[in-house]
Amino acid sequence: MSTLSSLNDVVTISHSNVPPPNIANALKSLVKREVGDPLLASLGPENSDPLAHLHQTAHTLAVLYILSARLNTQGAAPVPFEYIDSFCANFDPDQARLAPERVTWLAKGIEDLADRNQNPRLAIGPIRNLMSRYAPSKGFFTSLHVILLRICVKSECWNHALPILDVPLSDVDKVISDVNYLDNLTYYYLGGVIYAVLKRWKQAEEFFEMCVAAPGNIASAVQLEAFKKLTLVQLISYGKTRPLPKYVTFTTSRVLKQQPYQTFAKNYPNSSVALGQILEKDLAHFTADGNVGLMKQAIRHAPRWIVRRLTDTYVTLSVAEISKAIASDVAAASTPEAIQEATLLILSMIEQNEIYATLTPTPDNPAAAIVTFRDPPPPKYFDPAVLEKIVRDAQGNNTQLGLLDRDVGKSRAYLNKVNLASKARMVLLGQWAVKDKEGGAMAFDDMAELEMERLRGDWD
Amino acid sequence: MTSTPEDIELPEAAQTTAGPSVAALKVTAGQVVVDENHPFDLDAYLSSYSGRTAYMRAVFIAQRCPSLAPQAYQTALAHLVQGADVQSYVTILSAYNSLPGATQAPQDQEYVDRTIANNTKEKDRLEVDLKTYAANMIKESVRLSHRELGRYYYSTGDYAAALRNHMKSREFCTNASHVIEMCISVLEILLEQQNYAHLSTYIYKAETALDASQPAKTSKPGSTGAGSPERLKIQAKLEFASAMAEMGAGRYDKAAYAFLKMKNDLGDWNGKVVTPSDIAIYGTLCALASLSRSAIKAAVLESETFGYYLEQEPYIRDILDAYMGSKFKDVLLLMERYSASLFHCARHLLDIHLAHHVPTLAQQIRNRALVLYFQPFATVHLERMAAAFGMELTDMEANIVKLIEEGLIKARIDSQNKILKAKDHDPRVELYNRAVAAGLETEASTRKLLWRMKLLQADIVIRAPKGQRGDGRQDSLQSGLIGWDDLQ
Repeated sequence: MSTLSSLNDVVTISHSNVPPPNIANALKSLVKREVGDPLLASLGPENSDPLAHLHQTAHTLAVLYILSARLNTQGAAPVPFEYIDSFCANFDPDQARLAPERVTWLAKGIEDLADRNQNPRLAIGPIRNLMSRYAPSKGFFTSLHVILLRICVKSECWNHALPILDVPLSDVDKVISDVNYLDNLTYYYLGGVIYAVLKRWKQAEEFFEMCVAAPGNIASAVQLEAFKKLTLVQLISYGKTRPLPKYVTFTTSRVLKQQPYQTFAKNYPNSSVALGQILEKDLAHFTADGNVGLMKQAIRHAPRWIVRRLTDTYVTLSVAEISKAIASDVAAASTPEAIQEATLLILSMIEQNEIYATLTPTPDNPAAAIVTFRDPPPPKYFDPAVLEKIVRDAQGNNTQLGLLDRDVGKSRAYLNKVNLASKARMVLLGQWAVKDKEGGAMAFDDMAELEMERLRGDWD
Repeated sequence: MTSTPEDIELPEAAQTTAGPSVAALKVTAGQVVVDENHPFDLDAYLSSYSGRTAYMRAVFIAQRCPSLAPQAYQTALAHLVQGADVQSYVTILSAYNSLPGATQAPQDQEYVDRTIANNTKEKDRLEVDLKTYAANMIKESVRLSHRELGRYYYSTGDYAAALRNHMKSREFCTNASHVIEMCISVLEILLEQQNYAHLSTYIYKAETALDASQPAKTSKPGSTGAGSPERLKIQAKLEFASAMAEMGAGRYDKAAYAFLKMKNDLGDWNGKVVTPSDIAIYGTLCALASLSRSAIKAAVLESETFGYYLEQEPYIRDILDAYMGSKFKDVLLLMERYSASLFHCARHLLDIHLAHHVPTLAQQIRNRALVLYFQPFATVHLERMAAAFGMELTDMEANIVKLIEEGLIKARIDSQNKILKAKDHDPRVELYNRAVAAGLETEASTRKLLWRMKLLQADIVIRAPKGQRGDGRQDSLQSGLIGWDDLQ
């Protein structure tokens, strides 16, 4: 293991036949020293760029270290953006995985660079490449995921985040990428925010719920924010809040119970005027949380839920009656504007297939138009393909679970425990044998037989 | 027998109402009208009661029904003058005299003085007896003197003291029949106080004691053997008490079953606490409000024991027959005694125990009737329904909407044509939808589970950062929390 002390050394070692893990170790020890990063960030003799001597794919490690140093050190020589772009498209993932923290640092550097240029969108492309090639499989969670989401939110490029969010996370390993619990929480929180902006309420709800349900001993502020948004999204999506799943840690659920959002949720879906008043009362609080827009959307959705409730009770209703149900007082309901509002609402709900109804207009008296609710049309035929897909997905999950189970069974910790347990039993048996000396050796044999039977059964 | 602390503690209500018994009645504001449409024969009603309950019921009636008040108060006073409760006498007399337009009745001072003197004498005597026996440590005598004191206080209207003494006598009970006696006395007082919540403790005690006394049958044939008339009376009293406890708690179905189980002979409670016609009414109303029609048929009409009670009040039998015959209009009419609105049946509202439950029971019976009526139909005109029940169309519609929202009627209202249409549901489609939904949900939750397991395996768990205060809420989210205002 050679120690590096100059840029020349770095270049030399990269060109040599030293295997990459050794190179990685050398570089790691280099940056541990105070001079390490500034050295990497500097230019060679006569201002020559060390990067010119290095190949992006073959010498990924060196380029990675240098780039990350350059981008994150103040006053270092700037790197042209196309270089960064091409590096992210060409780097060697195996080499890169030997230095996961540097990769994260590189991404942060790219993000800062784009910010400095007042154009955060620039960062999206390279980091996305970085992420998709770095991760050993789709759905493998890395720190890059979080950085990318953050950039998308900052630059308001919501749709760019969708390809990432749509792949559910299925694997994580601290060796490959240095993630911590905050990354997990942030990923799901930002994901939920993005989905909510795109008005995909069901997916937003799932993400917020996963943030709230993350394992741990205590509650985190991120979870608190996620829970507030979760309540609001659930109101929009279902018309009422749903109870938290059972596996949410107890301390978390306790913290979450005391929120002013509960009054809002309880009074949903009453008339918009009443809900608006609740909003006004705590406006400062809600604004500080940044949830006012979401609440306003929830209020706008409230009449739809009222109408949906009516479909359960009535077959036909006049528009006047619907308007009365939606509005807060009877006087306001009979004005022509209110009637028209109600009519438009019903029409839009029919168009979006939220209710199944027909509206028979009466042009001379719009208030008396009759809405007839029908049952949703049954599927024309039972689609076996849909069922099969669900079954297949479930089976896939089952296999995964089985694999996990076997892994645990192979793991050292488990084997240790079982070993200890069986040893303890044998000790106990021995003690019984001692006590039962009068009965003679026969007793011991019988009991030993029983124990062996039991142990054998356990292993099956 | 050692006394456990729980036996000595008084029910809270008794402790707070140490005053005259009349004030302890829960009086709800509400006036009952009695006229030809709501016939009510005060004298006939009160003549079947004796003892304290007679005048208490009279007072209750007087408080709720202004037209009958003078007569009721007079009857009450007549009963009181024969008793020893001076406090109540004075209170009721002033209440009577404050009635508008009543002829002022003078306070019978002679009665008052005489009774007070008698009461004091009696009390002193009993207390001296108690002290003597306590000093002599003769258990049975102490118990008896406590019991006498309890009865004395009961007759003067001091419930708290009466209960206290009966509880004290528990310590000196030596066999099961003593315990039963104590429990019955306590139950009497509690029933009069309408303290339903504490009835169940004493019922349970008495029942255990009754069971414990059963083995004594072989060795001591006589009073508390199984099947003996004494035992039956006690059982009947206990059943009545438990039924009242259930009714007081609003559990009408359990109350109905308890009433229906009751044996025929209530012993000395008959008239002193309750009459058979009362039991008939309570039992039937509770059954109608909470049991299905087949259950009523099996339990009420074919029960031998309850048949005895049904004989006492013929109009209850009429109500039952109308209900079974689906003549709902008659049911409601009979319940109201020939009136249009459901809440003014004089007989029910003026009954001490039943009055608080009348509105709930009536509503429940009506709801059941509505559901029963609609069962065989696919569509029905709301006007026909309203006519069948004798209700207005708007009332009927409001009722139906409430029932649909509670899920008791599976139908929808066509408000344009005023028709009620039953919901037809296709089980196949429902099953398919449910299966698909369940599958998707299972898949999602398994996926989340796997993810959480992976997190735990990789040790990505929320923990308090080292060196900081416990709860990690110091984390703040630096990454852009954007305001939603501009995302309308």
